[in-house]
Amino acid sequence: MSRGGRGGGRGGGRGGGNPAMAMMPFELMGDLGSGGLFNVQTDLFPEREIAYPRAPTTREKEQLAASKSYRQALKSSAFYLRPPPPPKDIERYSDRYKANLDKPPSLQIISSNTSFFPDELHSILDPKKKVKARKQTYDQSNALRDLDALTNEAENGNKAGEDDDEDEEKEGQGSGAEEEDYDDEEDMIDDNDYGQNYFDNGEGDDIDDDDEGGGDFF
Amino acid sequence: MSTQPRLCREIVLEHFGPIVEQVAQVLLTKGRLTLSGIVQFTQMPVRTVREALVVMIQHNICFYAEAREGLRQVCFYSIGQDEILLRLRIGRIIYWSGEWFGKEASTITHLMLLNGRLTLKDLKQWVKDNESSPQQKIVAYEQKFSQLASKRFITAVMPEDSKARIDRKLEAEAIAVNELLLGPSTREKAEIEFKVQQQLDDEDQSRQMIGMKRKVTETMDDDDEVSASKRFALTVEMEVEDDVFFRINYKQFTKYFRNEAVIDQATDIINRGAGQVLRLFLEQSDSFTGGIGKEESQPTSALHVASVLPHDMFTETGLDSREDSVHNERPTAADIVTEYFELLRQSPAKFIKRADNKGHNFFVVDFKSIRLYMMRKLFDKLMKSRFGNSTCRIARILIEKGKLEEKQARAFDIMNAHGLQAVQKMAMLPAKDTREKLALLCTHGICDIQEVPKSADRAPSRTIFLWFVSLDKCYQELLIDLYRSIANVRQRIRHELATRQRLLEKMERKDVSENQDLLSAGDKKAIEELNKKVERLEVSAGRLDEMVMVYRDF
Repeated sequence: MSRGGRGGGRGGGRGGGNPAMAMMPFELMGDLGSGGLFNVQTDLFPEREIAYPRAPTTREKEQLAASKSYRQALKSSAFYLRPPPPPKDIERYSDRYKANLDKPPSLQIISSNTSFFPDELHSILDPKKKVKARKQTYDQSNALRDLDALTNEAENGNKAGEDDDEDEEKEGQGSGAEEEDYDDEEDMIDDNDYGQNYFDNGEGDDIDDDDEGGGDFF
Repeated sequence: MSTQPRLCREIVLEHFGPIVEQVAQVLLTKGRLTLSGIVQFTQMPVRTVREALVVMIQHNICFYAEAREGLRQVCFYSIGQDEILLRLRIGRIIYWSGEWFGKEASTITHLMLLNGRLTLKDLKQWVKDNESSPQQKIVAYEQKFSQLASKRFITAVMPEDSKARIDRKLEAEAIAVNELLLGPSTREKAEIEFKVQQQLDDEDQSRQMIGMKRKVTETMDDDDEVSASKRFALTVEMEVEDDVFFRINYKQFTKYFRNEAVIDQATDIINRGAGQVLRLFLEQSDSFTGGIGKEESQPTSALHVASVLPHDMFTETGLDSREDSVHNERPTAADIVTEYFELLRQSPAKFIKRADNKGHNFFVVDFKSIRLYMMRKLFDKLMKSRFGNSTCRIARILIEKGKLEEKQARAFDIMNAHGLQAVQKMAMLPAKDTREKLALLCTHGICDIQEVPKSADRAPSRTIFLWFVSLDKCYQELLIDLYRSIANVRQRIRHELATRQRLLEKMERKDVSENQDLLSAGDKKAIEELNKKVERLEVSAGRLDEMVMVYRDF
C-alpha cells in the first residue's frame, strides 16, 4: 500500500558512504554480498527533500473545473450505483436538513439501443422484456449424451422426467434471475451423467459373478 | 503488472461507485467471466451485477463475447483496461473541445461522456429542457455536433463495438484456417493472423462516416455554368442522422493533443514563429485527420506553406529584419518559410526532414524523432529531480557511449566499451561515488550490467563488467511508475476526503448549501484548506497523465 507520499516514486536515497570501500576493486565486491554497495539507511520514513511543484496555471484550473463538474454530474446520474441505504432506526433532528438523496434515476430511463447489449442484460434496460429462456441448441456431438440421458431416465423411472418437466415450466414462464441460476444448477447436474453411467456400487451385482471377476487383474 | 489494475479500480470507484468497482475488480483480477461467475466471486445479487455490467458496457469499458459451451450459449464479460485509463483525460477533453470548437462543443462532449452514448435527438431534448431560448440554440448545437462528427471527434456506435475484439479476430482466423485444405503450417498461420489484423483495421477506418447522411445545400443557384459533377462536389455536406448513437473518439483527441505538444516543443526550442510555421505545415499536410500511429506526416513544400501564411506574420517574427539584404527588397514569404524549415530541420528534435522522393524540396514532419526527443527530455528531467546532478550525468554518459567497461586499460572495444575508471574519468567523480551511483541506478532499474567472462569458470575476478542503459526498458518502467503515482495521488485524494467526512456531510445539508455563513470560521477555513489540497493533488494527477500521454499514446 502506498505511504501516502505525494508523487509516488521510490526513495531517492543519497547512498550512505562506506569509507573502507574506496579501495576495493569491483570484482571482489561480489564476495561481500549486498553488504558492500547497499549500505544505505533503512528507516521506514527516511528524511527527504520534497520539491515544490509549479502552481496550477489557469488552463489547468479550468480543466480541473470541467473534470469536477463531470464527476459530480456522473455521481447524481443513473450510472452511479450505490448500495441501498441502511434502514432508519430512530428519527433524528438532523434528518430534517439532510440532503435529499432521492432514489437515483433507474437504469431504465437511459436511452440506449438494446442491440448493443447481450441478451441477458436486456431486462435491465427494458423491464417489459422477460429474461429470455436459454436456447437449447441441438449439437451433433451431444446427441450421444442425450441418448444416454434418455436411457438413464427410463431406468430410473419417471423421477428424472418430473424434474425436467419442472425445468421446462420455469423456463417457459421466464421469471427472474434466481430461476435462471436454479436452471444452471439443474443443467450442471444433468450433464454430469458420469455418475449414472459408471458408478456401480455393487448393489445390482449377482453373487454368481464372483468367479468371473478374476480376469480384470493384471 | 498490478499497478494498472489498481489504477483502473481507483478510476472506476470514483466515477461509478463502489458496486461497479467490485464487479470491475473481479473482472480485472480473474479475467473473463460469465454472469454466474461474477455473482459467485462478488457475492452480490444477480440483478445488481447485471446493472453494473450495463453501466460498464454503456460507457464502453466492458466487452462481451457470446460463446457456445456444450448445449448452452454463454456470455463472457471482460474489461478493457486501456479504455478505463483513458478516462483520466476527460477533464482535458471537455476543456479543449470548448477551446477549439466553442462552448456548445464542450457541452456536447460533457453530455456524451456523461451518458456514454448519445444521439442527436437526445441532445436536442436536453437543450429544450435546460437552455433558455432553446429554439436558436438547437440549430447551433446541431451544427457543432455535425462539425465534431465530420472531424471524427465523435464516431457512431455499432453493436460490434461492445463485442470483444479478440473474439472477432479469432473467429476470422478460424474461418480462414478452415478454408485451407490441409492443416495450417506456422508460416501460413502467421500470414492469416496478419491479414486478419489488416482487415479489422481497415474495417475500423472505413466506419468513420457511418451515421451521417449527405445534405445538399443550395449555395450556387445562380451559377449555371458550373457542371453538375463539380457542383455536387462543392455543395455536398455531411449531416448527422437523428437516431444514431455517437461516442467520443479518444484517438482523435489524442492526435490533436500530440500535434499541440509538438508545436509547443517547436515554440520552446526555436521561437514562436517556428511554432506557427509548424502548425501550418501540419494543417496543410492533413495531419489532423490521419491516423495517430503514423511516423511521418504527408509531405509538403515550402511554397505550399508560404501560400497559406497569414500576412501579419512578417512583422511579428524575428527573422524578418535582415541587415545584410538589400534594404528595398522585402523577403518573400517563401524565403522566410524556407529559413524556418532549415531551423526546424537542424534543431535537436529534428522536427522535419527531407522527403525528396515526393518532389524537390518537399519535407515531412518526423513524428518518431519528436516523440523520442520528448520522451528522452522528460526522462532526463525526472532523473535529475530524483537523483541529483552527478548521477544524472553518469546515466547520460552511459546512454551516449553505449556499454562502458571496467577498466580503460583494456583495449577491448566491445561496442565502445570503457571501464569503471573510464566512467569515473568522464563523470569527474571519485571512484567510490561512481560505484555508488551506478549501484543506485541499478537498483532503480535504469542501468544494467553485462558480464563478459574471460575464463571458463566465470569467476568474478576474471570477468569484465560492462555497464549500460537500455532506454526502452527505462521508458516502460517509467510508464509503470507513472501509473503507480497517479493511483497514489487518487488514493490520497480519497483519503483526504474520507478524513473530513463529517465536514463534507455538513456542507451537504440543505440549510448549509443555501447559506454558507451558518458554518463556523474554523469550518470555513478547513473547507478552504481542503479545496486547496485537492486542487493541488488533482493538478498533479493531470500533469502525470500528460506524461503518460507522451510515453504511451503519442
